[in-house]
Parts: sequence; structure tokens; C-alpha cells
Amino acid sequence: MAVHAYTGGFITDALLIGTVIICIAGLWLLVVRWGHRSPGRFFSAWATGSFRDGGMAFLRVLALDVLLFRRIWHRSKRRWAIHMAMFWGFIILGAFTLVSIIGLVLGYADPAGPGGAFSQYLAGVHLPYDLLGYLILVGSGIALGRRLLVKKVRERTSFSDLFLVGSVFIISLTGMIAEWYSGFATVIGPSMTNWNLALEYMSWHIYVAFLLFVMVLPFTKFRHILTVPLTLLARRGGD
Amino acid sequence: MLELDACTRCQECVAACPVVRAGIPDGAMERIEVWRRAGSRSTGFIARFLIAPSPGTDLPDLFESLFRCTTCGICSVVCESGISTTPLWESMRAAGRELGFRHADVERTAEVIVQMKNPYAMAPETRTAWVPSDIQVASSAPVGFFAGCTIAFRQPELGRAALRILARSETAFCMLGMSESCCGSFLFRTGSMKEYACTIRAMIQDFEKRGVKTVLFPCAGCLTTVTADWPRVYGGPLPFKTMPFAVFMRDLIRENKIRFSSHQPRRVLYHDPCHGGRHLVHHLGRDWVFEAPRDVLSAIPGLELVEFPDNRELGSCCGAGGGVKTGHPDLSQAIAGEKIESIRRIRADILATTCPFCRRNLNDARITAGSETEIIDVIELVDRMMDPTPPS
Repeated sequence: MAVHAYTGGFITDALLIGTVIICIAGLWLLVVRWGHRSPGRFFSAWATGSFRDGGMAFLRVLALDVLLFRRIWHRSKRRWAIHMAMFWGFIILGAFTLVSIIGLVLGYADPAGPGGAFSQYLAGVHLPYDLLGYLILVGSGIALGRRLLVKKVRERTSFSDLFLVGSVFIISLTGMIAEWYSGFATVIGPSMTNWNLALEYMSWHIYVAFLLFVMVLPFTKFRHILTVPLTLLARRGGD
Repeated sequence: MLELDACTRCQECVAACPVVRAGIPDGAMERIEVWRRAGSRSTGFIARFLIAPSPGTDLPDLFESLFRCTTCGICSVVCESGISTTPLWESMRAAGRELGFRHADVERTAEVIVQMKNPYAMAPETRTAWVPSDIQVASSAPVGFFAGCTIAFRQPELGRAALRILARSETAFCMLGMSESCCGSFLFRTGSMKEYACTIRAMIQDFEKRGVKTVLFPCAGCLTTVTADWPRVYGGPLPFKTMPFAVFMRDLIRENKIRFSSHQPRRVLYHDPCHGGRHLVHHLGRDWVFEAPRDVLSAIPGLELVEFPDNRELGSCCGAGGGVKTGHPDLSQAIAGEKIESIRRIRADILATTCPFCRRNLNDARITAGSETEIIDVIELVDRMMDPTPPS
């Protein structure tokens, strides 16, 4: 169902915009801290490190280390497969969500024209959202289970680790429940259809996505989404 | 600061850490977390706008943990985020000193190095006593030889073996003689090198005056310090090239300047020193740091080269580095003991290395364990197995 079922409202819109502003402000504060109170110093040092071996080396690190996790591949093929599934599941789902938001805007702007048609078409697309949603749900479920059930891992798990994995799990779970109740879920089909519950869970999904991910991104372990690629590029893959 | 935020707490570093394997619940991941938190409390958003800055109460434990770290750098190799940990630990130790967290044994050794120019509190004028009188050492030459303190004061037989190889190959070389001082490795690793910068600059100038273009190092610790750390003190690239002695020996073998007599078959294991291996691979390349010593061993007739399961970048630490042998000798021996156990499982007759410090620590653990494996430097092995007749 994804975001094309979202109906919004002033308070919700204000809340979502507020979380985005907090996220941007937090990112700025991070950059200020990395540059020891001077963002310019950080960007300059980062660019110097990243491009020290030239543009081709930068692109090679971007492709092999950032996008294909070469360092994890060298350590463990199993971990690499899980990372690839989670990362690319997240990225492609993010891209699909972005397309949905564009469709939503086009639908509002031009309900009777091609924009509306595109929005209508997207409303019927479920398979990619479902597949990627299950991928992230299962991946985050395994990660959460390991941190709760495997003694050795649990002992070294901090609150920030649990928050990250738990947030991803809750965000994907609320989205999937909304999808199941919508009656359009792949495999499950119309057996669970309850449109009111679907919309309620969709609202929850959007709230938790913004409150437990977007807003807290710079202040929690979620910042590794930014810091790991930046570090790998600055260290030229660490090799 | 970016690197501190890049830790994903994947626990790979904890699993690979030799200190953790020896039963101490330390590890890079926790150190990064504590240091990041201390930084946030001192300079972060809340500290700047809401409450008074304070580094927190867990710093003493952090610095205690830092001095239990051998700075072997395996955590950097396995880090999924590519965090460069060894420079991080060294800078944290330096910051700790500034904040007043000082380790008594480490401070004492650092003081001895600054005053006596060696960590063994030996009289500086006895530094060249090990050099055999029948070896011709030039006052200036394009090739320099930096022996280091461990060879000069603790393992002169290793230095003599190196000089015999130089003499056999008719290589003209010079040494700094009495002007040679400790390379400062201990001071760099423990964050206390500020007082020593002048001594390092004097040695660089001395090499330059003697017309040295390439300096040979029989000690992995000195080699890494001079290659990676001295340029920071000098303020730019050094006026000479640094070369592991193993690379020099491999060149001699390839040029047929060294020949070997045949010996009984023996299994030899190569131990990659952290300093001469993964710490240097970015500076000197894989061939020089990992393959050259192996090529030398493979060239000796009768020796069968075997490998540890974890080798090259992933080679496990002997436990002596980072000031741990001085500050925590029991921990150092516990780590070395694990290595001796894995040597026993591989059933090697000889363990060869290129670091006198590893050789010493592993030998101490070998004696404790009652192992019969011989622990020897690659240089000594070459010297012992060289054909005594001069090359044609």
C-alpha cells in the first residue's frame, strides 16, 4: 500500500516537517563536531583524504567498498549476504517510496490527468514493496533476535544497538501489518482485509518512520548510514 | 571524530582482539563508544547549550584499557567501517596524558628513553659494543644500517648476523654509531613523544650528512616508526628510503650474492610482526612487508614454509607491542602463550620472524610452555644457512 494511502492533515504534516528540520539541524551539528567547530575544515579534510589517490580511486572505493561491502566480503560471505540484502532492500524500498511520494504529489496536482493516472497505477503496485518489506522485516528480526537471545552478542549489546535494530523492526512491521490489512498483500491476499485498521497502521508506520528514523538519525547509531561511507571514502577503503 | 561515529558496533574487532582472547573484556568497540561519549559530553550539543561540559566518569577505565592494548591493529583490518584504529589509540593515549592519566611503568620507561636514548637504561656509550671489529663500517655510504636498541643491548647476535650478510655481499654501508638513539617507537605508541622530537630530527640529519639514500632495518618496530612516524616529526618525506632487511636479503639471493648449503628438511613457520606487516602495508606495499621474508625462507634449501591459519594482514599479535610487555607483562605472556600453542598444533620446527621484540616475547613464552620449537629471526636463519664459501 505504501505512502499512496497517506492522507495527511495539518498536525501530521507539521509533525513530519518538524522531524525533517530536526534531522537537518542535527546533521549540521554533526558536521560542526567532525570539523572541531568548523564545518569547512571537515569538508576540506574529507575531500583531501577521499581524492588523494585521484577520481578513479574514489569511484572504485565508492563502488566496491561502499556499495558492494568489499571489506565485509573479505571477512565473511554470510555476513556479506545479510548486509547486501538489508542495504539494497533499504535503498530500493527508499527509492520506491520516493517514487510513491512523487506520484502522490502528481495525483494531488493533476487528479484527472497523467499525474492522477500515474498515482492510480502506483496504488496497484504491491509486489516490490512487499518483497523488500519482508526482506527488511526478516533481516531486522534476525538481528533483534540475536541481540536478545544469543548470550555472547547480548552481553555486548548497548541500548543504542537495540534502539537501531528495534526501530527498523518496528518501522517495517507496522508497514507490513498495514499492507496485510489492506487486502492487497502479496501471498496473503484479501483474507485479512480491514481498511480502517490498514489506515491506522499506515499512520503509525509513517509516524514511527519519521520519529524513530528521520528525526533521530543524527543523534543515534542510525548516523552510521552517513558516517560509514564517509569514513570508507576518506580512508580510501581502509586498504 | 567522524571515525568515532562510524563504528557500527558489529563486534568484529572484539572477536579478533588478542587481548580479549586472553580473557580481558576490553576491545576497540567499547573504547570508541566511551571516547565518543566523552567527546559529546565535552563538546557536543548538550554540553554546549544545556549542561556544563564534563568528559564523564568512565575515562580512567578507558585509559587503563588503552594501556592494555598492544596496538597490533587487527581491529583496523577487520573493521567493516574501515576505521583506522591504531592512530586513534595513540592519539587517545596522548590526550589521556594531557588530561593527567599516566601509567607509572610506561612513564618510567618513557623517561628512561628520553634520558638514556634507549629503553633498557643502558649507558649510551655502550651502544656500539656489539659491532664486530672485523666488519668494515664506512663513515658515509648510500646504504645505512639502523640496528635499534633491542639488537644493540639485548640481541647482539642478530645484529652480527645482519652485518655478516652485508659484509659477505660486499655492500658498503654506514651506521650512526654512538649517535644512534632509540627510534622512539615506545614513545609514539604510548603518546609521549613530544620530548623526543629533537633527537629524531638529529638522526635524520645525521643520515643525510652521511649521504645515505636507503636505510636497512633488521627490526620491524624501528622500521615502522621511521617509515610511518618520523615524517610527522620531520614535517615531510624523509631524505632517504627505508627498507626491510628481508627485502635486501631477497635482492641478494636473486642476484646470486647469497648462496645456501643444503640442510636437513625442517618445517618453518613465518610470524608476521604487526609492526613489520599490517602497520606498514600502506607505506611499503604487500610485496615488501609480507612476501619478501617468505621468499627468503622459501629460497633456503631444506626448509618447508608453512603458514598460520591467520597470516599476513590477519596475523595474530605476539603480545609485546604498544608498551604492554612493559606495563602488563603477564598479559603479554598470555597472548604469546596462545601463539606458542598454535605453533605446537602446526608442528613447526622453527618459527621465523623479522621483529626482535616478537622473537624475545615469543621465546619467553616458549620457555614457559616448554616448547622445543626454535624461535629465530629470518636474518639469523639466512646467516646460519649461508654457504661459507664466497660467491663467485
